Amino acid sequence: MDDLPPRRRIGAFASLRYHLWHDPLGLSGSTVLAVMVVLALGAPLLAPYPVGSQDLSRRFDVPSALHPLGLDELGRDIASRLIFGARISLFLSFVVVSSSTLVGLTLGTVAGFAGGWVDDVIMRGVDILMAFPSILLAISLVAVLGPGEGNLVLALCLIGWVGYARLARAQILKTREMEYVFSARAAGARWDRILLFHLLPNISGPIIVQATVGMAGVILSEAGLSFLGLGLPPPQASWGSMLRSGSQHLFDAPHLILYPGTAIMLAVLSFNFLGDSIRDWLDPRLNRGLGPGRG
Amino acid sequence: MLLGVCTLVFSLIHLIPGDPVQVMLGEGATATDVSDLRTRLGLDRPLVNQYAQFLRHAASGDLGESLRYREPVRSLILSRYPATLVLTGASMLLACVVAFPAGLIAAVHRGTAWDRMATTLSLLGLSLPNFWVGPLLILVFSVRLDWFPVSGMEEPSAIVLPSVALGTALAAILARMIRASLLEEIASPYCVAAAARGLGKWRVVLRHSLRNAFVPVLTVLGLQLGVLLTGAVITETVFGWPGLGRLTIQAIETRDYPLVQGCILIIALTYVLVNLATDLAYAVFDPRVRHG
Repeated sequence: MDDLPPRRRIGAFASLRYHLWHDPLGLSGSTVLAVMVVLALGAPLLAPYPVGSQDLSRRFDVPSALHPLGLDELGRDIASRLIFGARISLFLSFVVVSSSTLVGLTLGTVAGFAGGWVDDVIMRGVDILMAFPSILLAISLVAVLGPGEGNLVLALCLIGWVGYARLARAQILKTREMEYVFSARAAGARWDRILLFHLLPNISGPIIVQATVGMAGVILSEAGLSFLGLGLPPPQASWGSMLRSGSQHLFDAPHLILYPGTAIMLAVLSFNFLGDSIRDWLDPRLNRGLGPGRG
Repeated sequence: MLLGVCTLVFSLIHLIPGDPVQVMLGEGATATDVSDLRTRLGLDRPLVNQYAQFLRHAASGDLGESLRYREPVRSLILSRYPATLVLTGASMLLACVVAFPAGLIAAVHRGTAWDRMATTLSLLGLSLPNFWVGPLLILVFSVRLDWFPVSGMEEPSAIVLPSVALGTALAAILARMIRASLLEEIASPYCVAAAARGLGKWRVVLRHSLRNAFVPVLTVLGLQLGVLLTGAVITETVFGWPGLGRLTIQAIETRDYPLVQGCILIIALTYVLVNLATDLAYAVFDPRVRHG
């Protein structure tokens, strides 16, 4: 037993933790995201001022000791709004990505597993939605449904699930031909057991990578829609809506766009770093002894 | 596929919660106005008839009349479309000029500081939202340095900043793709054999690997042209570029739904046709596709 490589003896999470700790991109991405998540969750405690507090006499104030990032066009503390903005932007992205993943994974798995007309119907729908530029579809949907949190999430989910469905189907088609699936069938396992205990765990890797990078995409889409005035209505403080209101005062107070833009860039960059790092961890060609431990 | 896109665009106007005509005209509209507009848009007919008429009209290039401009949607789109094509073309050119050398150097010098710099910069480029890069570019190059105009397209130099804002993400994606694709080709037996025969690294890459590595890059380039078209919606708004994207946002703001529908249909059809052209070009560059 002593000759077995370490991957046989440690769990997948411990292996991932080891990989992230030793990969500069993974470590920096996960650290920044961890800080953002802590700030988002503890916003009411950690933000220096309540999100709605205003001092109209000090509009556009530059950064100072009292207000480290300055004040916006309504005299609100930018640092506090950024922290509350993290809450909204990260929460919306999480809701959109988890819903899209759930729908996409379910439909893609059903299409790949069932085949035949079920596969045809689902994949033709996917093809049509993929033929349509995704952000344009989101813009159109929010434009006709009207701005607001629910409609924004709905629009982003409607464009988001197709990528997961296509990936899940491709993975199912590949893994269902594996020998361990044939063995399970030969041993008399029912289809639901094969699906839940054999196929889904083995296709989860690429889905997790796509979901991680997808978080970055959703943050960008949400911010883009908010920037166009199709996102969350004021006074809600998402990073995109802060950027929109800041860009209207671009020449008088450039600091208004600097901080929310930096926050969006940092979050997107960190999710991309993390996604790349997880992809490397899952890629057996790049594994240096401590793989995901799927064996 | 075209039919699917048309169906999706047609159904958009019917997704409007409540009465779409009431939404378009606002709360102050009289019952006569509402009834007139409903008749004008054909919304008083059965849905199947509306759909058939929409397809018939779209096939003949009739996209209806704008509620705000009181002009045919087709002529409005035709007057703005060239500006969008110029912007997307310039962005793509700029992205290629930056991405090809960056991807090539990163692949040839894999694992070196050049590679790490190119990889990190490309990830950074991917993470920069164009609606943030745009205002920053205006602030630095138009306001502080006064090198380029803030908005519009009156001066030829006005295209530089919107192209940079729109092309940054594409340059990043292309550089990553070129690097990955070249690395795969460089590891192929024919490249290893060429190197074993004494050919220099650059000679192997430029004479042998590049053409083969270009095939997957071409696919990404085609797909990204469509993404650029939609990205132009935001970039044109930031820079006041008088293209189709800005027209779409203006139509959304004024609830001019026939114009919204027309703009979206044209952008989506362009996207589909570009993807089709990419598939056809794929066969030209890769004989394995051409000969089945």
